[in-house]
Amino acid sequence: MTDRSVDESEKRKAGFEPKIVAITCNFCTYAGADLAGTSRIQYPTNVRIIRVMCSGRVDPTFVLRALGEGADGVLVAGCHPGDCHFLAGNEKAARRYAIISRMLRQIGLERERVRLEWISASEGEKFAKVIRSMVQDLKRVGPNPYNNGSATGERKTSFQ
Amino acid sequence: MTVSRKSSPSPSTSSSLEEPKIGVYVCHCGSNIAGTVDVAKVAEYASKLPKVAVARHYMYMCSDSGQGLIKEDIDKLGINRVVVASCSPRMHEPTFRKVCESRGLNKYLFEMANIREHCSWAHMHEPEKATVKAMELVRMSVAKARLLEALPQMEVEVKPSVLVIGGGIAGLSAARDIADRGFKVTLAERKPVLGGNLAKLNALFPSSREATEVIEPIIKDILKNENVTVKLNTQVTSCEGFIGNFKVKLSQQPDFVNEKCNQCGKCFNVCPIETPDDMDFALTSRKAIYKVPSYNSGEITSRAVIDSEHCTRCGKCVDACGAFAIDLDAKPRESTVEIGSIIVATGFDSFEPVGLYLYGEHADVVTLAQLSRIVKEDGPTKGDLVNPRTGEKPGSIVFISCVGSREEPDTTGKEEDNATRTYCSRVCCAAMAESANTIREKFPETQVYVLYRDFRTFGKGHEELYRKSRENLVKYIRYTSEKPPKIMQNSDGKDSASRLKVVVWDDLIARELEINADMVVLASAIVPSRGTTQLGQTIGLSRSRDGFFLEAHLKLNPLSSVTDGIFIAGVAQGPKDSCDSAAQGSGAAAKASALIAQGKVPIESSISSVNEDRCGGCGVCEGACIYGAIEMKKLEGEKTKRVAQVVEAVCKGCGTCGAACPSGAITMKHFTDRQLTEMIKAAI
Repeated sequence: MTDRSVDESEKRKAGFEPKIVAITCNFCTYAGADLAGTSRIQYPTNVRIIRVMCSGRVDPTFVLRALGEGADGVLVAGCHPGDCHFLAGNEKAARRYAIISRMLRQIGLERERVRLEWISASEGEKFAKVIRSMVQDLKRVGPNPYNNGSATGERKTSFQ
Repeated sequence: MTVSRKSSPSPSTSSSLEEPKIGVYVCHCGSNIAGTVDVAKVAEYASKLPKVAVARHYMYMCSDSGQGLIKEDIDKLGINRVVVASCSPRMHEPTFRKVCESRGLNKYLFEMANIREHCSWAHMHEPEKATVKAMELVRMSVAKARLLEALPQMEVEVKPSVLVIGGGIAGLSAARDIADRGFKVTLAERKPVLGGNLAKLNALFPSSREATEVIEPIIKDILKNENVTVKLNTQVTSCEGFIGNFKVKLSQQPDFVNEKCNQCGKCFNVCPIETPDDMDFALTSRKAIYKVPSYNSGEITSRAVIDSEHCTRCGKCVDACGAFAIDLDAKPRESTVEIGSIIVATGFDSFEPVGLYLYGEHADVVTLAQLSRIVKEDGPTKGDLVNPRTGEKPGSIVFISCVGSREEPDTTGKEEDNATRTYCSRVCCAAMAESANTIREKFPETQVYVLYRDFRTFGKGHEELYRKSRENLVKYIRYTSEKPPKIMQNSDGKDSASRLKVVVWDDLIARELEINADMVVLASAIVPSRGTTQLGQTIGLSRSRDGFFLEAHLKLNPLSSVTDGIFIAGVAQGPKDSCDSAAQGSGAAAKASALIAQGKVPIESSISSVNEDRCGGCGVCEGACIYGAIEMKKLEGEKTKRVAQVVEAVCKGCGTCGAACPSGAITMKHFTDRQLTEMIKAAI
């Protein structure tokens, strides 16, 4: 890398706010995020939550789609193993996540960009911690290379 | 079991072929949302989104007038898709769905954006960013709303019976009330006795009645009532199904001792196994074969039972039994019940604080629960104030509060779930006041000290009891959690000296005190009963951080769990005294009865659906479905082609098949691939 491209990469990282798309299960993680709000636990504004009934609903192509559309990070979250409201949907999610995360690394996307977490309905604080940590990680690795992570082009996100 | 379609969407009012006309309603929720998010700006932004016909903002959308706004727009403006941006759908989705239905709009044409729990409440100090987030969340919900489809309402029949798990005061109250209402109830209790922890206790405050006086009438009522089937020694091994149609497998440990037993007691003498007696909260021991109350035709007598967990099958009792009443080869009995609703009332265990304050090391350190057994008239010491382990009569007793409760939260982030008990056990303060007062009244030569952090005598009659105990010269000493009391063995060696010494910093007079104690009583925590985690996983019930079962809403719905049709009552939901447990038992009974009385209950229509033309017959979905709700079937007339078909009655709508299908042949109603990808696009 030349000095100039290092400078530009640093410029892009400086002051950028990562956009995280979170696909969360209704019975555990969505409720956990509700609890974080009810308890007034504060966390960064970077996440947009999409509700599904079960983490097992998450097709790996949703993760690809989110990254392709320009999300800097994707969080898939559901019930702890053994506690899935639909018995074992979360286990399917775990298997799909293993495949998709390996594939994404092979095409050069950093491992910090896609995360699988187990967050129960009573873990409001954990939800906030995960968001904080993911925002920190993403600020460190920089914007999605498919969304102005490269040298040219406007970064495609609204309101920025 | 039948699933019926109550109604099909009528083409005139809610067809998916119609052009969507979306109404967006942004709620202020007083200042809960509007205090952080600029709701007017969000509404303005929404009004410009594609297919949005009208966007309003209002103080309380869930109020009658707020709901009226929606109704009016449906009537006058022809709105056929509704988006409300307010609290969590887990709160008010049913409310607004009813509003839509009241105007002939299918309830699945409604969507909510969570801009309170997920936005205004979590970003209180970043109003600009929170407003942007709210706008984007609304944009996402509108994107889904453009693609929503009307779905038929589905209903199932409800089986008119209830399973109550747990035979303590909450479970007994629930079973009695349900049976009185006229419905059948099965009461499954893990132990061979009814009454739970209450059956072990002494005086209930403030009435000072024996606990058995309270329990026995309820037990007798239940035994007489034909609607109740009591299964002792029984545990739940599996649970399938859903609201109105649960199928639960029960396993009943064999009695081993049959009705030929003449209660001669020879078997108790010869049994070589000793194990802590749960009846005395482990203060004393019992044999593996022991005596328990027996309930025959409404009368309470006694019988011998064998504790299968500790019995080594040595056979000495069989040899000793003159009546040939013991069969060690008896097998557990399995049964299945089909019920409409379940009430979980599994109660608590008393925490044994091993390692704290010399508990477990010194025989004179006992728990408050154990002390209540000592003072009980039919307890191990027949009500005499004597430590059954040592035979010594204490001249000085020191109580210590909050042992194992109200612990400092773990900040290392490394701890396992629920390892630290940060909660207050609620019942101990009044129980200490009661015990302390009773000892002073019955054994006035005994000195009593109570070391407390805070004294929480909140209930009816409790404050009066506390006052009386002070008048009876119970000495209350306040300590703080930063400087907990220290306990040590007295090394004086004099015959008259007490064996223990308690050193405590009295926070109110700012002096250190040394108290000679013959007995130290620890008010230890109440914890979820053994088997709670196991039962939770079997039935599919979540637990809160403190390990007790998670209620749907702490204030608005404390008796319902998140799983429709399963209710919680008593300490299973969280620490409380017997009054509140009994009340919750009755409350859960009312909820279960109300459910069953309807005969039918609506279920979610957001299930799986297969496009047979696209289906390649691979069968991946069949393998992915844990319920067996999707099956590969050969098409008529086809030699080899098979397609997936959904068994609608069984499909829960989890979406695993939809995610697994490589052909895109499966649509998850109300959570379709297209709807979710449009939401993802709208999120960026």
